[in-house]
Amino acid sequence: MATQTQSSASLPWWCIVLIGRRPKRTLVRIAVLVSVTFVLFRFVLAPIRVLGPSMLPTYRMGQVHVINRLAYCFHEPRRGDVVAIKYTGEHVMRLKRILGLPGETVAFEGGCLLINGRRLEEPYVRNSCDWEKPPVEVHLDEVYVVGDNRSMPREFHDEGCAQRARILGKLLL
Amino acid sequence: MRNRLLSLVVLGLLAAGGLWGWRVRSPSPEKAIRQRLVDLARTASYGPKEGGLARMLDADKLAGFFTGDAEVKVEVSNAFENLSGRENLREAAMSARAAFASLSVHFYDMNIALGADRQSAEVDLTATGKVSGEQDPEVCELKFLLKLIGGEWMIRRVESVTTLR
Repeated sequence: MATQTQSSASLPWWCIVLIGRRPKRTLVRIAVLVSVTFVLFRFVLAPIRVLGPSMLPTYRMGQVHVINRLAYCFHEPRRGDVVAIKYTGEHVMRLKRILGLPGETVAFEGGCLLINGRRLEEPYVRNSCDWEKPPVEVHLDEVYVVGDNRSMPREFHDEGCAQRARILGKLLL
Repeated sequence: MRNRLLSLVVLGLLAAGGLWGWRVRSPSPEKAIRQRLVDLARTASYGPKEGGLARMLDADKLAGFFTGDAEVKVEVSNAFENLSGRENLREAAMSARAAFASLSVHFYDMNIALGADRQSAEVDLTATGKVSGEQDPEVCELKFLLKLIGGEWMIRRVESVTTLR
């Protein structure tokens, strides 16, 4: 104990501010923090920045969110989940909400969502629309995704069946 | 002893330098393709201050990335563009430069699959293009088919990939 006090007392004040009274312990803490951060952001979480108006008003342009890559390790995607869909990698992705599940048919009639011919309420949609779309059958390896912003004409909105393999994960925060 | 150690260090440095030089001069096909497509994106992009002559030269340079019988079938803003032949591509590049003050093209996440003969390759990538006045970039997935001709990777076909059916 006396040795420790002596060694910390011999360190200059700026050194104590930067690396603490016990440099070895500080180094271990830094190593653990770097390792945990690396593993977390490489294998578990993916930060994303929202571009474009397709998820308005739920997610606004410029907002930063986090995707959980492990969300679908133990269960399949569920209706209402907001997911990131890959193009050819993870640098640019689509952010969409899952509306149709494998095996279902999805249609829009007078702006209302119909799943298997039955109308489904969408509490996250704030703007009414007049979208019309004939029934589309979702294949077993697909989900049907749409953005929350229905004030846009459907022609300018990317929506449709996305392959399950393209889903990176579920929006966490 | 000291001289021998110094010789070993110098030899090691020379070998490392030689290896680096060899790798720079003869990159792997994947690296050459990646660089070729990065150059394509750079050539396709232009700023608002580009002059008439520079536009023409850039359009020529852009067409030079493609084979004479190249085919381009891409979906831009829900409309399909079909172009074939180097001359058509050059004209399209000139038209784009006349229509938009500036264009910024970037390619991300290139997945390169070399053919068995190593003379052809298929590349999937995500392309973004942002024109002046637009807030958000246009994003699409593209599939490129390239062929090695005269030591250069030339683009033979480009087509859009539908990611949402």
